[in-house]
Parts: sequence; structure tokens; C-alpha cells
Amino acid sequence: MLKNFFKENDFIRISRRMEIPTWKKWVFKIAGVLAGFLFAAIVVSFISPGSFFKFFESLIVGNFTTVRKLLVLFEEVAILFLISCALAPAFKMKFWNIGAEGQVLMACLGTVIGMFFIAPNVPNAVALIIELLLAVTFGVVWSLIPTLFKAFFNTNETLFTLMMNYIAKGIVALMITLWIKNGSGVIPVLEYGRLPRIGGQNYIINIIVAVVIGVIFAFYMMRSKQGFEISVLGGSRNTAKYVGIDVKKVLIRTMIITGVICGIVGFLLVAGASYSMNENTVSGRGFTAILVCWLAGFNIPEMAGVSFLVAFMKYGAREVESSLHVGGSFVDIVVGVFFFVVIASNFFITNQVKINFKAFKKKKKEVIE
Amino acid sequence: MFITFLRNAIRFSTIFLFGSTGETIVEKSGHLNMGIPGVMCIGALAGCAGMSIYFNTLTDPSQINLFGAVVLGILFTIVSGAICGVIFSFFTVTLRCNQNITGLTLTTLGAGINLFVFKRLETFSSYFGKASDGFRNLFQVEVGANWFTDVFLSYGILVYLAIIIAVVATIIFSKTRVGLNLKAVGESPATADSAGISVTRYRYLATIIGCSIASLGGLFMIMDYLGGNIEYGLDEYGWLAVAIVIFSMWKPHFGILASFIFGALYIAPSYLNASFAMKNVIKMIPYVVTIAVLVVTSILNKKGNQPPEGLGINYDREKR
Amino acid sequence: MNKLTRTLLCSSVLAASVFGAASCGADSPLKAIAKEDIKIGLICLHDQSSTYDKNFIDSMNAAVSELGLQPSQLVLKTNIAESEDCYNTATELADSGCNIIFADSFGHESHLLRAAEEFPEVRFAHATGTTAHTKKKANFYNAFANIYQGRYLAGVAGGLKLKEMIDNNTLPATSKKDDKGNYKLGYVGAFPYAEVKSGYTSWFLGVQSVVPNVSMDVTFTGSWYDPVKEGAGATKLIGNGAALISQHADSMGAPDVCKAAGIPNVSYNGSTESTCSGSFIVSSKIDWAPYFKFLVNSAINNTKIPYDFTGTLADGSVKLTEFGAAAAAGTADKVAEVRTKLENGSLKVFDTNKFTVKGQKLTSYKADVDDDGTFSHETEVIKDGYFHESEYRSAPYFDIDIDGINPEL
Repeated sequence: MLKNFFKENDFIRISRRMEIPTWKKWVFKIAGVLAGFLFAAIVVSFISPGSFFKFFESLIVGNFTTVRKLLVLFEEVAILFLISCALAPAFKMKFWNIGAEGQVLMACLGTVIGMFFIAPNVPNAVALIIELLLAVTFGVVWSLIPTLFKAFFNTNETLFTLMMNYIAKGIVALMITLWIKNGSGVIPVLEYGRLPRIGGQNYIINIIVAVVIGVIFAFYMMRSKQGFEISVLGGSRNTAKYVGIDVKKVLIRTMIITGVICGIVGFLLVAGASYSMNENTVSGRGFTAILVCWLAGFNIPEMAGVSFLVAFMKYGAREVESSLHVGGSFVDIVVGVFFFVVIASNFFITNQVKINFKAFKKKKKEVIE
Repeated sequence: MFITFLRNAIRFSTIFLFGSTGETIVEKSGHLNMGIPGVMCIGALAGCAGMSIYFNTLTDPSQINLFGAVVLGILFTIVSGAICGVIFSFFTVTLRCNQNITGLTLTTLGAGINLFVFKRLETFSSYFGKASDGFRNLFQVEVGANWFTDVFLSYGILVYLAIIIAVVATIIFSKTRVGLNLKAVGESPATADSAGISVTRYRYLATIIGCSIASLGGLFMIMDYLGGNIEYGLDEYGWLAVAIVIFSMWKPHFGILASFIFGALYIAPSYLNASFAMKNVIKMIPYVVTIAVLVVTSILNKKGNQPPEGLGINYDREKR
Repeated sequence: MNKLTRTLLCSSVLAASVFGAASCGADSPLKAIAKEDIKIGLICLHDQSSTYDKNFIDSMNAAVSELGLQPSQLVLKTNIAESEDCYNTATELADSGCNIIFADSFGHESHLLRAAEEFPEVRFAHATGTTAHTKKKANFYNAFANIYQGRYLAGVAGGLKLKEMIDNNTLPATSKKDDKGNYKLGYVGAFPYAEVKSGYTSWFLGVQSVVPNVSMDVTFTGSWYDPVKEGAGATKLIGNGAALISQHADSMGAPDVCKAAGIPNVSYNGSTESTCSGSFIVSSKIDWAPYFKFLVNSAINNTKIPYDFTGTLADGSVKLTEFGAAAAAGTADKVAEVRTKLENGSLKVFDTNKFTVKGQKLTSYKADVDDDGTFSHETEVIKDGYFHESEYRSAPYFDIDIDGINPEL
């Protein structure tokens, strides 16, 4: 069968790598990304013939040609990066929190409560602090609920957090119904309690916050004692226990951190970008961040890079969709193809593929004879 | 009205039943396939694409041979699901890529291709509408005669198929050697491997079969429940199906009940005479109930209700 | 300048003087734009797969070709969320040289307005919105149409079908009368606010003008596009005895259920005859091409664009589709008759003699015309014996629950 072909023939030999020099790893990673772009361009030219080079042009046009576009791009990178940071420690501990979507959404709700009810009546700086506190509180509560059940009853966190996403959406829908008395279901852009713009440009604060938190978090995960505890727990529960790490305590502490970061993201999304919210404010980025987190192997700097790639592809594909008049979730196809190729390229990092040219020549000789 | 609600709840739960039975089979082998939502989308579009090849030869929807259309749709769907299963297994077993990323990427791709292909099948929309009669009515006894036939005998073929498959799956899991081997592969692939069971073969086959079953859920949703209206995204139901795998504790016959309860709770708000604000509250009930069941079963903590130990971990013989 | 353009120009000047319009003086940042320099940005919530957005996209393409513009002068942005996404997209379109930017969804409005504040030389227009006439920005406009008249006509068509079924004793087996002996109608709506209420009330009044003893149940799905919920809503209404169903939601969920149940259906935003023949009666819709052409011509000539533009039956903004095969005999003629009366003003949809609220005839009502976030009802809208819908603002503000209609609230 086909599987045997890979193992037991003379032409291609596949063996697991024991270790790989860092430079080589990066060569494969970058080659993978480039191959991803290539394949995406090929798919695009199938869908819309003759558009191979237009694809690359659109990638640039969609992302880089104005300061505004750059800021929009990096704001998206910031959000994806931050949510990935929120997820990374939990995933490293093998706690499958797929509830980031709901945790961020609840934080958005907290921020909106601050902007709607409190901000009109107090100075802006005070309002912002209150909004941030509300956002973080809501985020932490939402992330702690499944955690506590896991810690004490070993309740499956995957399903619990997934359900919490839907409940969060329901709560937001309910709140909007109650607050917007004319029944339209839409919160207009709120005037008070906004994060200030810097130099007349949007999203600068969001981007700065992401960078600062990224640096702090990288140190936390890679250099601090708590970060070490998380890695040990991710390796083996038993080892952790022997070393004296309290699993429950670390789990709860880690998920509080998740909640705090989700809280900050919610605050940035509402007070720093949209000044409003609805059920779809997070728009699937909680799930995309899972992909980012995994692809980057929970490594903070790499997560920044992958977030950039995802955002870059998204806005590039949007530009393609618009300029080629394609429509219909085109963006998802392009992003999907890109990721498949990148994932496949991972294979070459973990395995060594040797092609035995001599065996080809030998076989050819045999066939001729 | 209650009979209508019951009947529609059973119909609606079919998409969850296909998805959860399929994913249960996949997970039993140790693969956590988060690509099921994408598989459902691809299944729906493959079935419709296959049928459209046939429709292209006709000039009018009334010429459709309903039986042929149904069979054609199911065949194309199953094949597409199998192909998805092959892709997933190839990436995870052969290329040893991470299962979660592979699955999530499959979902992204599937959801994207879904609407894209459907746009191109728009010209056949009246054909799909007629064909959906086949999916709904061909094997039906009759609707509206009395409550018994409404509740038990009035469904389309795919509804019965889903239930049959779930029952058969349960029997295979518990009563056959194949099922036992599968369980071993999922719980501890290293042990199974040393006992001579081919982990690779079981994982490939389980994933292929599981994805084929799940893909039928997408076909059902478009051609039976939604009456052939093709432009609708299905991935949300795929996620709920994955949830129901856990809700049913990896037992397909529980999945029948779990799918029904969830499906009934999901569509219940539309049937109630409640205020708009109240409906927002009621819409959350299926998710709250699922959590409640989850918490209760975890407190009771019976051994047989846990996921396979090796779930989500690629098996690497050299690491044994 | 052709006759149509001249007519539009005249009516727009007239409308401008009624609504108060954006200033177009010499010191205004708005300038005349040469036809070849016109660049339009169209922002859509979803894409062509949604009938709502498809309607805007098709209308815009029609307007572009009728005006003789190049396809490259239209930039289409789809799947733009009701969030800063709309603001980002609008500002990017403005940066790239668009001089007319249009957004199609209710929730886009306040984000589009932010962009309008930053680009005073670009004209921003928004469908279904409510705040242009209070914000009074020279470059921000709302538009809608007298769709309530379209719905009324669709209601007349539905009523004729109902009457035919009553007269021939061919009512659906599931239909029931309510406890006051009225025949029952059903309506599947998305959200319980004025735009939807105005729509279902005018449809109801249309049916009632043919069959006086009717009552209507309304169910809300909480979403503009959800086939499952819309289908379930229709199923419930049919189960409660509705003999005729209509809707204000964008999927095929309700029409499909109606077809399977043999219940006549009046749809919205497009004909469902191809898939639902036998139950489809008629559909009303807004054709946006007249407004789009008006926008472009106003930009070319730098003429006033009103804060609120309300399309009419006369200018082609309010349309009915072809009648379905299931429509009653003589429907086309009868509807044409009623349409003439609506157009010449002799018939008013919201005539206060035709409906009651809590048993009383309405002589006065203050509607929430100025959407300033306080939800206060401040504008008197009943004069001369009828409710003046869509005259003080293009987006509907009829949010009254009249007798005979039972919404789930």
C-alpha cells in the first residue's frame, strides 16, 4: 500500500530527525511560507484566470500602500497576537481552552458597560480605567468558570469552553435587546470613554500595548519560575507533582492570566477600535488565534510572526476579492490553502527525506535490460 | 403543534447525529479531527456538485429521476468525505503534522470552498429544490395522517440512515473484534502496535469512514432540512456536532439521544410564544444544559465515559 | 441632460427644500466631479449570496452601466462587518480616490459617519439609516424608499389570494380562525423595531383592505439571515392557523416551509417563483438604481443631496416583482388600480380610519424621528387623517402596535 511505499523502498528514504540546527529549521519554515504563497497564487489563478501576478500585487496593495492600511494591518496583528498570548500558557499545560472567543466577547461587554453607563459622567481617564477593570473582571470570570470545574471535578474543558462561547453570545444579544429600546439590535458608536488617538492616527495604542505585553509575556514564559512550572506541567503531570508543583494552583493562576489578557483585548477592541459592539465583535479571531498559537509552537516571538502572516493574508486576499470581483468567502480558501502548505512544510523539519538517485539509475538500467 | 415540533426536532438533530457519529469513530482511533465542520461543508457541496452534473443533462426540473438524484448525491458526498479523511490522515499519520492545526485548517478551507462553489451552482437552484423532494419524501409513509406516522414514519432517507449508522457503529464498537482493536488503538497505540494491530491502518480507515459519515450531515442539511437552498454556511453545526461527541460520551447510541435533546432545545425558542427578550434567554438553554450534563457526569466520574487516552496525539513508533 | 435626470434633479431640489439639505455653497468642500473622475465605493455587509446585498450590488451595476460609467469606476467591498471594519474600509476607499461611498446595512451607519467626519470632500450615503438629518453633516446622507407602499400592494395581492381561497373553499387544511372569527395571517420578522413594524403593518393593512376580518401573528428571529429559525418561525405560525405568510428576513427559510405546507407566501426582496411555484404570490423590493444615479448626477453637477432621500413608486424605487402562478385571478389589474390611488395620493396606507390602537382611533402620535440615543418620541406625525410615514425621515418610524396584529413582545 501507499504507506509502505514511504518506508520500504530504495528510492526515497524517510527517517525521523533527532535534532536539527536552528538555521536549517528556519530555512524550511521560510520555504514553507513562500511555498504557501505560491500555492495560494496558483489557486487564485485557477479561480480567476490570468491573475497570478495580480495576486501578489494585491497582497502588497491591500496591506502596505498607505499609513492607514499599515495601521489597520498591525492592529489586526496585535489582536491576534494578544489572543494567542492568552491561549499559549493554557495550551502549553495541555488545557484546551477554546473559549477565547467568548472570553474576549465578555470583556468587550464589560468595556461597553463602562462606556455606556459610566463614561459620560466622569473624566475620560477615569472612565478608561473603569472600563479596563470591568473588561478584565468579565474576562477573568469567564475563563475561571470552566477552570474551576476542571480543577475540582476534572470536567472536560474543551466542551465547557466551547459552550461558554455560545452563552457569551447569548448574553451579549440579551443585553443589547434590553439597552437598545427601539429594538433595532444595534449599538451606535459611543462617544465617551474612547482611547485617545495618537498623532491623528488610529490604533497606535492598541499596537503599543500588544508589543509591551508581548515582551513582558515572553519573559514570563521563558525566564520566570512560573513559566518554567507551566512547561513542566505540559511535559508530564507526574514529573510536576514530584517536583512539588501544585497542579490546581498553577492551572487557576494560568487561566487568570488568560482572562486578564482576554480582558485587555476586549478593552482594546471596544475602547480602542470599534467604540461599539455586537455578538460578532470578535469575529472568529478567538479560533484563528488557536491556529496561530499551535503553528508557532507556543513560542511568543514566532506567534508574532504567524499573526502577521495571517493578518497579511487576510487583508491581501480581501484586496484580491475586491479587485477581481470574485466574492464568496474567497478569503477563506486562500488562507486555507496557504496554511495547508505551511503545515505540510513542517514535515521536513521533523523528518529527513533522502532521495536515492543511484537507485533510480539502477532501476532504469534494469528496465532497459 | 407539539407533533410538528417533535418531528422537526428529530429532523434537525440528524445533522448533529451524522457529525457526532462520524467524529466519534474518528476519535475512537485517537484522531481529534477539528475539521468536521469543514467536512460537512465539503460533503454538502460535493453532493450538490455531483447532482448538478446530472441536472446539466436535463432541461426541466420535472424530468429529474428523484431516486437517481438521491443516490448520486449520497455517493458524491460519501466520496468527498472519504477524501477529506484521507487528507487528514495523510497529514497527521504520514506527515506527522499536528492534528489540531490540520483539522482547523480543513475547517477554514471547507467553509471557504462551500459558499464559493455554491455560487457557481446557482443556476440549478430550481433543480435542487425539486431534488430535495426526493430526499424528503421518497421513503416517507405520509405526513399528517396521525401522530404515529408523523413521529416515526414521515422522514427522509437520510434521517433513518443516520440512526441506523449510529446503532451499527455502537454494535461494532462493543461486540466485534474490529471495534475492540479500534478502542485499543485509541487508548494506547503503543500497546496495540506491540500486539500486532496496525495503528496506521486503523487510524486511516476510522478517519475515512468517520469523515464519510459526517459529510452526510452536510448533505442532509442542505437537501432535506433546508429544502435544497444551497447558499447557507454549515460550519456552526459542525462545531456543535463535535460538542455532542463529548456530550454523548463517545457512544453513538447515546449520540442519538444527545443529538435529539440538543436539536430540540436549539429550535424550541422559535416555537414558543415568548417575548423577544425572553427568547434571547431561552436560546442559551441548549448550551447551559450541555454544561450541566457535562458537570454532572464529571462529578460522577464513571470510567467508561472518558475520551480515549491517546486522543489527539500522533502515534510515532520510534518514540515508543 | 436627459429627461429622467432632469426629473430627478427637480425632485431632489424639491426634496431638499422640504428636508433641509446639505449646503453646496462656494466655500463648501464638496465640489463638482467630472464624469470620468467619478469613483464609487460600495460597502456590503455580506456578499452576493445574501439577497439583501445582491439587491444593492445588482442595482449599483445597473446604475453604473446606465450612466455610462466604466466598471473600473466602481469598487465593491463585501463582507464588511458592522464595526470599525466599516470605518476602515470607508476611509481606505476615500484615500484611494472614491468620491461617493455607500454602505448598505443599518449597523454600518455610525461607523460610516466617523469616516464622513474625516473626509468632508467625499459624499457618504447610507441605506436604512436614521441620523443624517440630526447630524447635519454636509456630506452624509440617508436613503430609503416608501417600501410601505410596496408592502401594502403586496398585501392586496395576498388578500386577493386569501379571498379566492375563502370563496372557493380552498383554504389550507391547517388554517384556523382566531377566537374573534378572523382569518389568520403570519409574518416572520427579524427584529422588533420600526423598519420591520412599518413593513408588517402596511402589509397587514393591504390584506385587510381586501378581507376585512383578518388578524396577524408576528414572530421575530433575532437575525437578518437564519434559514433554520425563519423556517421554524413559519412552521409555528402555520401551526397556529395562518393561511397566508409574509416576511422581513433574507433567507429562503420561510418560503420553503410555506411551499412544503401548501401555504401561500408573499416574500421580500425577490421572487421565489423558480423554487416555490405554487405558493409564491408576489414580492416587494427596493430598487436602488434610481438613488445611485441621483447620487452620481448630484456629484457631477454639485447639486444638493438631501439628508433623507425617500424613493417612491413613481421614480421606480419601490417595485413589485411579477406575480406568481399561484396569485388569484385578476390580481394584476386590481393591484394596478390600488397603485394608481397610492401614487395620486387618494389612498393613504396609514389612514387613521383604517386601524385602531387599543380600540381607539389615533388622532395624534409622536414618533421617534430624531435618533439621538434617547429613544424619545418627539415628532408629531399624524396630520390630515393619516400617519405620515417616511416623510420626516427616509427610514420608517411607524412603531405602533395596532389592533389585530399580535407580535411577540
